[in-house]
Amino acid sequence: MLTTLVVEKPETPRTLNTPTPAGVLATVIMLAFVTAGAWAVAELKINAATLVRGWENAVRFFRNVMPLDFPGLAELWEMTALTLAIVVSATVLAVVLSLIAALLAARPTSKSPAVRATARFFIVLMRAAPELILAIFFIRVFGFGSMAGILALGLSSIGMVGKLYADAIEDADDGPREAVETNGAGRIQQIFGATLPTVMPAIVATGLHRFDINLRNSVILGWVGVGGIGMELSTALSVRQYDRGLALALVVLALCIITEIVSGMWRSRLLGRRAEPSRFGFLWLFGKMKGRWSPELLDAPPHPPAPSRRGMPRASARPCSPACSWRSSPCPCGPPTSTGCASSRASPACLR
Amino acid sequence: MRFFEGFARLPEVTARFLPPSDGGHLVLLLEQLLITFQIALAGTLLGAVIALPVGVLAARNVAPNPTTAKVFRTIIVVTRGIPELILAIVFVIVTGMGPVAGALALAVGAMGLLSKLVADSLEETDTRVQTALRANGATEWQVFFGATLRQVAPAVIAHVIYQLDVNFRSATLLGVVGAGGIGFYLLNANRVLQFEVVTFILVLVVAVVLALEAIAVLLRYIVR
Amino acid sequence: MTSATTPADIEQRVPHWVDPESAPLSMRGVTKFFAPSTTALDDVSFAVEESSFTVLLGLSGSGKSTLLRLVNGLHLPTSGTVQVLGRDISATKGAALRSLRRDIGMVFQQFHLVGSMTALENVCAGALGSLRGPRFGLITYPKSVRQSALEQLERVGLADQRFQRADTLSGGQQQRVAVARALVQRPRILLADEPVASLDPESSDQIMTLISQIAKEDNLTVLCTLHQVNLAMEWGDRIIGLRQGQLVLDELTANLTTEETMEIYASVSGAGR
Repeated sequence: MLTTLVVEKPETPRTLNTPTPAGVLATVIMLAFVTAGAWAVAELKINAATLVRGWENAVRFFRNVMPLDFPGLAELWEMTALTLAIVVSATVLAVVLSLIAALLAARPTSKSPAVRATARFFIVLMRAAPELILAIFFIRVFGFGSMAGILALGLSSIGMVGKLYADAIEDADDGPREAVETNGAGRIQQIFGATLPTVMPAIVATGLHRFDINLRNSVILGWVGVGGIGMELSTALSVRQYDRGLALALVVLALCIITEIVSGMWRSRLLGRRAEPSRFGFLWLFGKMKGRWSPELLDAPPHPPAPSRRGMPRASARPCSPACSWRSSPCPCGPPTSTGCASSRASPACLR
Repeated sequence: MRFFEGFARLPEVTARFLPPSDGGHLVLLLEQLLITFQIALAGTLLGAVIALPVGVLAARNVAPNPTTAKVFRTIIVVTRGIPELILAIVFVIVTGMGPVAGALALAVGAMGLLSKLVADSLEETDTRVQTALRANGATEWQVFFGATLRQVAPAVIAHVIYQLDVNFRSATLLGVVGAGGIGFYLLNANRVLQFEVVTFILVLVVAVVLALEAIAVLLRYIVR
Repeated sequence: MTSATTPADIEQRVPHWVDPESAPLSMRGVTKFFAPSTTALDDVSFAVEESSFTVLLGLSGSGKSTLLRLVNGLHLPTSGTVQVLGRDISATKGAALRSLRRDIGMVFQQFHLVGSMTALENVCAGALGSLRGPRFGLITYPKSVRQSALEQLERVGLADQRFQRADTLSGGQQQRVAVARALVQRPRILLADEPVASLDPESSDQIMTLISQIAKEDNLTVLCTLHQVNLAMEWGDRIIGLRQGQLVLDELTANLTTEETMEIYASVSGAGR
């Protein structure tokens, strides 16, 4: 009798997980971007040689361009005032319009889902509006001048500001409003009496922040005819008056820095320790003198977001979705509230 | 007021902007769109490559000593303060017009933002995991790669993708000041009063932005 | 054997004698002081027998976590000596310390796993002490390491979950992964810092059973901190009691009753735990 031995190869359990389709996709996308980036760098001929040549050019250039031609004080004041006026008006316009839109879009203050959806859609639509093209359009409508600039900056801000306001209203404690409602107040009364006061710090803080951003964005509008420092800058560059051009560029830089410090201080006062203070260390000096601030405060990391609204527990406090605004955001994911950064509305690419 | 006069002219002006038309320069515009995208890609890649080590050195819990952390944090803060447009103008004046200036400007800007985000993410990692690994005998480098970086990776990837999106939007504007890309042609179209072309460019830009955002959302969801 | 009825009597008993020279773990006159004014441990001396299950019992603040961390060098004693596997831990640094740590496994109350890594990868990370150079991702670990990691996961009963993200596992499961991670380098000593304080009673039971079982299989010397007296009595061969940094009890479990042990803590706060 023959016994056949059947030798079975023992199954060794796998120690490497099979890649999931999602994982593969993600890796492919990332690799694609990195390769594309490398190719772009090569195509644009950004290599050591170009950089070295560029540096030599730069040195030669700066030697020639000094001393810079700063405009006279009166002239400087005039253009700065104009720019600031435009930006302030634009921000105020944005705040008012966004507030209306946000009130219509937020759950606690707007009863009808249809109205809410439309308002949200409007806000999202405004997000896509680029200031430059809006400015071009409005200049045709209103002629050269500041009106076009105000409208362009203001309307394009609604995307970010409106969203932040809507989120602030939704995340804020609805209690006071309900209390007032049960006492018989009408909708408008509730809003003015309860909701607005509650979110007022967030409103002002976001407004200040958007002011910073608008100031930076206002410069480029000068190239299409909106008055102010931007237009002076574009004129200087177009006639190759680089000494004037660079001087004006420095003025813009200084202006941005100053407004950021000021708005940073104001925002910190509004929001307490939780706000991301100004990016510049001058406050540190003041603070040291007053003894109130500490250096850690100045570059405090964003505070961990409140637990995700979707109810998923977080294993560790991770900073939430990337910085939303164009340059910086006091809170990565949502509006700054009086108690710190708002919850992680883990919405995709937040806003400008 | 002029406002109401202008208001009345709205429909007439809108008509001049529509329908979007390429003015016969489709190939040129598409080329420029590609260049704009390249500028954004190059800027983001360069910025990210520099931002990682800078961010690592600026994170208080990873930097070799607190002074290094402070120094790099200051560097980051200063870099972030400069508006990208100004940066681009300076680069244009200095290295001449063209996409190189734009890419470099975006790279510096991206570096500022990304390194701060990297540093903040690192500071917020769960240090207890690092203790656990150290207790099992891992070296500092192993702890860094095995625990810290692994925890931070999803956030960093999301930030970089987002930065690409933002950079593309900026890149479209940089062309206006001569840093290469479609912005230049946008300005020209405006100057020669060909507004349909302006709208066309708008459509192109918005399309790319939406596509990038969709990819960003997808990637972020997967790499959670 | 008549049992003493007052805490003072128990404290008077001569501590259980273990020859410190041959013991895998011993402390002599160890004091640990944290600035500005906390004395976590005050002149603690004891030695742990090979292959025994010793429980460090104490309320929070009694210094037991600090003591545990002195064993593998995460903290250094302010004075006194800590001898682990024949080496003085305060004198061991760098590569020697790493090599010593390979022989010590540690499990924590909060598990300390990386949530976004899979269970298998978390266990592999426990083997970093035996590998040269950093690793990033499951693929970068050699196959042998992955196999050992899988073996340990099988021992704790989680082989099927090996590719699951750690933060999707339940508390009990995560702690089991942590146990597997502590064992992957085949240590001789296992330290457990409140391994079950974050778990429900059923998982607590599972984990303690698991630790005890593995300790017997692998002939491990276990030093485990707990604050629950009943668990200590059930699982420990020997109980070392700490109170406000001082050693107040060192006795074989067989010679103690629950009431006696609880009384030591009753004398500290109104409710002994």
